Amino acid sequence: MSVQKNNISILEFFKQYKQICTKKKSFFSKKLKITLLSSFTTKGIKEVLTVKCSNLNIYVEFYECEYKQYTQEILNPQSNLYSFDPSLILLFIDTKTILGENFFFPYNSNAINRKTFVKTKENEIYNLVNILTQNTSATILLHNLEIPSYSPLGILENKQEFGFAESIENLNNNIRNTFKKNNRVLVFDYNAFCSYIGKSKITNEKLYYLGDIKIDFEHILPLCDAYLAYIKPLVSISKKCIVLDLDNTLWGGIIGEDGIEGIKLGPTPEGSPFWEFQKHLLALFNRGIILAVNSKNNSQDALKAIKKHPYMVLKEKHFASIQINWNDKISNIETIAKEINIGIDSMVFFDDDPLNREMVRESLPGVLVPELPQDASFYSKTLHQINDFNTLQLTEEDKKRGSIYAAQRKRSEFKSSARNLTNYLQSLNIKITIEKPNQFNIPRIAQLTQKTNQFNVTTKRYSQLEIENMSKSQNKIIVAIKVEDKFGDNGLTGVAIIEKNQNHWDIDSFLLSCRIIGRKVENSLLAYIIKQAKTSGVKKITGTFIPTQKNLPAKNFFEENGFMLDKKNNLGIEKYSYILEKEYFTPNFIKTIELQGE
Amino acid sequence: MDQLENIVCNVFNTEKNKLEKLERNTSMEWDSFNHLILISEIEKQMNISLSMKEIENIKNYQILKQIVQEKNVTPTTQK
Repeated sequence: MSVQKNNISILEFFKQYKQICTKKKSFFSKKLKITLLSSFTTKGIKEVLTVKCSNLNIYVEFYECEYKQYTQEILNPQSNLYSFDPSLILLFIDTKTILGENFFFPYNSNAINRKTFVKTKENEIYNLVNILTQNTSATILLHNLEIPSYSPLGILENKQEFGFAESIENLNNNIRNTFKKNNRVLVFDYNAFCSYIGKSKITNEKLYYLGDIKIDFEHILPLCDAYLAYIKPLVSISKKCIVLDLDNTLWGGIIGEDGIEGIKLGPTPEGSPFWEFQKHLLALFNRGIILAVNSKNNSQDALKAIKKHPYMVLKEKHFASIQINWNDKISNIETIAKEINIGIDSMVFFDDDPLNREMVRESLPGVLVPELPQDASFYSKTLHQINDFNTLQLTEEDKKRGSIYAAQRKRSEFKSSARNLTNYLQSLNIKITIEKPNQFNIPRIAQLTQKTNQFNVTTKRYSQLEIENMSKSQNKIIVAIKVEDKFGDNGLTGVAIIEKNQNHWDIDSFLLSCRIIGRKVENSLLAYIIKQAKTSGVKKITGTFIPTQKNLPAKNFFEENGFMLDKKNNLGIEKYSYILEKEYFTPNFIKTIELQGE
Repeated sequence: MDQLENIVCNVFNTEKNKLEKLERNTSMEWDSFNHLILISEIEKQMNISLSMKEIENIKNYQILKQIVQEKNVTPTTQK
């Protein structure tokens, strides 16, 4: 549960909410429509969440169901819920509402009847969720139930067959297991949230009896922070890379003064906080977060510590970029971003020095700079409170990302030793595998359309459901490519979506992950599309370039590949066409494998 | 009673010189939800407990002030 500390009261959020309501939608770079369906008074969530989203440049349109009207709203196809067409639904039914009188008198019936009752309630929840998934395209955040710490049987609670607590635990487990493989439904662990806050504190009983308010106002703030963990990946603003200082950040002390034997790192009271901090960072690396070093130090001293210190958890191989020099931290971060080819706004910067942190915040406002506490004992906790690293699902490519970027560093070193670019590309032994969409790669294809900003000709974003539907359409072709070279497997990193018309094919989307830009694989992907188009008998392929603030790398793609510019409007949108009579030459140093079937 | 004034002004987004005439029935800002916010803020910031009967009886600022005064408040410096 990643929940940040809130230093301002809910009243301040209400004031800010009123101000935000006066701002124009076009002021924000991201938009999100949220519906809250709840079984009790949840006033405050809309206001706080809108403000918190606004701080992230997300414009939120909010629809709340009337008090306790969630079932009616879901069951009525004509309800406002459906005409609102949300992209995120928070479905929040509380334990007391679900259990009714059984909440107070669970032992008025026997274990068999309790099981039957809970199963019925479970099915009611599934039914509501199923209707929502069928009638909307929204992601559904289903809250599990708070398991009360009270039992009418007191200390004998755990002796009961399918007891009160056990029955709710069972319901929570079943909810989790039912939706484990459903990418549209995410289970929000409200029980864990209550534990984090403290179950004795979550409800202010007076507010509850006065207004059916089951979450005390002050806890709405951290609750909304917990929701942000889902919202950030939903609008593709998650962070990808952690840039780390070394002295007093990855180890205690200063390597240049204390030497490798003198720094604090390992199983001692002084060294443990740094040791464990590194372990938590390694765990993030293992789920695909890129790590980089940004340190003002003598490179030889610092690298010696990284390579030789017996308790150094993070090794050279874990870092996608290592900047150890006497440059300022800002230019080093810019170098890292350039080297690993990711946006500055995908980065998080950890540095114990408040001056460095402030400088980076001032100069590079897109970089998230957590306030690292003076005491290293709280470093790991600070890391855990950052809810910016989430993805809505973890693809194989995500898990490998850290290693892939570390391999990229080796590739860059190799590039600088090569005689020229052609020589470099030829010696990489690039192999691409062309795949059709299938149940395994569709999540990744959707993810690429949602996250790729740089080499992306139209920057059209598609959900997994939309990709699934397109893959079944007779009028669409989706092509995905996996890229490998002698330094490793980059995974599925390129996608093209083609719309088939009677006389021509139109490139709806053409994108490459930033990690494979500059290796000419786009030419091989285009060559495949051209070959297929010729086979199908069409005469021409059209394409569109829609400029954004970030897709400059794709600007010349059509022109450089023989497409003719047909027109350009005043928004800079360019329309191109390629006459298929022309011969298209594919790079001979790339081996292309076409996987047949789905 | 400065602290109470500040809380009320903050909740109802009003000025101190308007408090004496602030009525639950006539103020647009004093709706049922803001009434609960008011109770919550007073209890937390002033470290007092209001009974259900007292909460129901608060019809205007004057009554609120009287109820709070009767509790011999020791204002806390921060929430």
